[in-house]
Amino acid sequence: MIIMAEHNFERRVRQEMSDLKIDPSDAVWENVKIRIEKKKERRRLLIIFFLLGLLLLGGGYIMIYSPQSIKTSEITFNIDKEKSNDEHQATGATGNSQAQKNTDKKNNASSNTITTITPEKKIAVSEKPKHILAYNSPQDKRTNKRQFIKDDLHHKTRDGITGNIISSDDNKIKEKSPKKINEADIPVSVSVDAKIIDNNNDTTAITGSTITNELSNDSGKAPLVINADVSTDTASIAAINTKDKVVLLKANDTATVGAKTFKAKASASKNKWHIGLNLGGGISHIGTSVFSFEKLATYDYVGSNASNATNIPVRNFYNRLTPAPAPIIKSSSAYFIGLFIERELSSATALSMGINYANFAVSSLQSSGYYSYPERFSGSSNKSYRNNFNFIEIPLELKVQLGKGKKMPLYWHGGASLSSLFKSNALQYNPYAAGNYYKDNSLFNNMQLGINTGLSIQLFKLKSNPVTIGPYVYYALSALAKEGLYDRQHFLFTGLRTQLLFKRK
Amino acid sequence: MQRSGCIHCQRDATSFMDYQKLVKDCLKHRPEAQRQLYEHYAAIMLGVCFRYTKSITDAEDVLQDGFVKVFKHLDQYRSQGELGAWIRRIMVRTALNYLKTNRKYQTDLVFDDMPLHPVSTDDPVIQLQAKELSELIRQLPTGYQTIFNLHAVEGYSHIEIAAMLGISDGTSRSQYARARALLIEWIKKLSSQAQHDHYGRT
Repeated sequence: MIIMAEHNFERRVRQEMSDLKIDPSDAVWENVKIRIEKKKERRRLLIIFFLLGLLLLGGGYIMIYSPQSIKTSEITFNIDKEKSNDEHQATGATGNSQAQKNTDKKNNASSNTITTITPEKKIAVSEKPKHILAYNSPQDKRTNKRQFIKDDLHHKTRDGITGNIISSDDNKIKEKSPKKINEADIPVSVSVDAKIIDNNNDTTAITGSTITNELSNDSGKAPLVINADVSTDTASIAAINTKDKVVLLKANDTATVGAKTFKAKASASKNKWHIGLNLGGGISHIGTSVFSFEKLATYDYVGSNASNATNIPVRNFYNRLTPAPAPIIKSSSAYFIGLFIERELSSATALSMGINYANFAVSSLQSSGYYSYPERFSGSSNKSYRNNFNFIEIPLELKVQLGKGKKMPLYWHGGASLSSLFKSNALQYNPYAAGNYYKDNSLFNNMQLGINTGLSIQLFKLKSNPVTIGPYVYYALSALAKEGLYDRQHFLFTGLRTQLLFKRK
Repeated sequence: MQRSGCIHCQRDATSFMDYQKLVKDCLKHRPEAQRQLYEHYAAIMLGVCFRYTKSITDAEDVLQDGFVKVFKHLDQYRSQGELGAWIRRIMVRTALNYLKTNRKYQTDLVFDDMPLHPVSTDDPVIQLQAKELSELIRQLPTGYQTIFNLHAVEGYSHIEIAAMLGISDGTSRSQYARARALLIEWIKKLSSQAQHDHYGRT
């Protein structure tokens, strides 16, 4: 909303300020262009990753819900109503586990951007210059300061130096003379990194240095003055074209301006791809849904004497067997380990994909005096059996920084993963066979689709191997099995995850 | 925003259709259209950014960030006002964010609650050029400078300024009054010095 100024003073100020026009340097547009294109590229990459993720999930869905082609064993319960004897038949056989699925991906990409400069070509290699770098406006004799060149709205194109700028730090720099360079020493073209300037206060060095210099004062242009951060001794330089020549200093070259010496450093281009190591440990649970991890019905163990035990199947009046309650299934320790590749999407987000080996387990409490098939357990006390489930999983995860912490940033991460059960020693339970335990891996869904989420804190962020640690939760959307003891059961893993990142420079 | 003369108005009227086409082409990510839009407004917007910062380097940083936002949010421009005014608003917001987040300005960007300062009734004639006047404005402490720019130049009300800066409108009025008084004092001093130099020579 605009309010009319009460006084002429405000009106005049507004009028004068509306006439104030300053031509920006070439570097500004070049950086704007790079940043706009960077956003487009980032959007494209996100779309590609999203489609890949959809493909992964879709493929997993198809694999999980496709009909089981191999079923090598069956359990049959033969209950004879008429027979007086406790005769019962059951067959079982160990199932064959399916072949495990293993994929491995590697992506290596470097993100150096090199711009080769020829004298005719305009470049903009810009830093976040701390001080003014060049000016060519005519000197005002009266004030001994540079004037702004007032221009109309259709100002000139950028063939020559267009930086008409003035610095409040002029007093520090104006009388210093730059290094004189002989024409013979000027290389025709030099490779220079084109740096993308992020919106932060960091300054980075530039490979090579691009400095324009006047070989003579005949053109009437003012000499270039370089300012630098003396504490780091790094030259922060912006490139400006002269009319027909670009004068370049080679990398590691030095220039003396007044009492200060500046050196052009080689800069490292920022690599956005990193490899890392994944480690996690915690507890795995099993249940019918996320919020109802009910244990299976308890089993009442009385003793080894089968006749006294209340946990054996009994025949009712009609001589029909009633199924015995299933054993207690308890949570057990679990762990996973793997490798991943991470791609920085921005300073605060990253996408990663990897491969893990995961071992989830539950314990089943089994009674004594009962025989399992083909395993046999004996002893006077209840025995706990660790049912291991070994998976190879391919996780896809998005990591987002919460807040703007620089030293120990906090991240939220979430994603999905496709797992393949390649090995298990889990026992099934035959409720009609007086506590028979047996193996039958064909009952399991070999492909599992799961989701994960968690928080983590990154330590040693500025080092080359930062470590991330934090709570991690995984939930399997797919049921572990379609029938048997683990029918309609889903895995839930809660624990801690540590990631070690190997940053490539 | 009050324009200085008819010339600007006429130019805007005849090129209204051009602006629409330019915006459409920019939305299609045509590089030449984006370049044209930038070249059309860069100089004047750098003048805007320059008034909020203490150096041309910082002003160019703000200009850069501002234009990235312009291209990013160009789809939100609804042709309901001048494109220049829309871009200018973005530049002002970007400049304010820059001042708030840049460590260099944070210590100066303090708006202490102070007793109301009466607005001076002085109305001196400004004999300075735009550059000199902008230099004087930039000499003000950052807080004064910001509020003076927002009220006197951009035309925001004190209530709007208070909302933008997270201060009370009383503080805004008071700081503006002090900034205005200081600026008038400097203008008078410069004017009298210029007169002295002129008459002294003759």
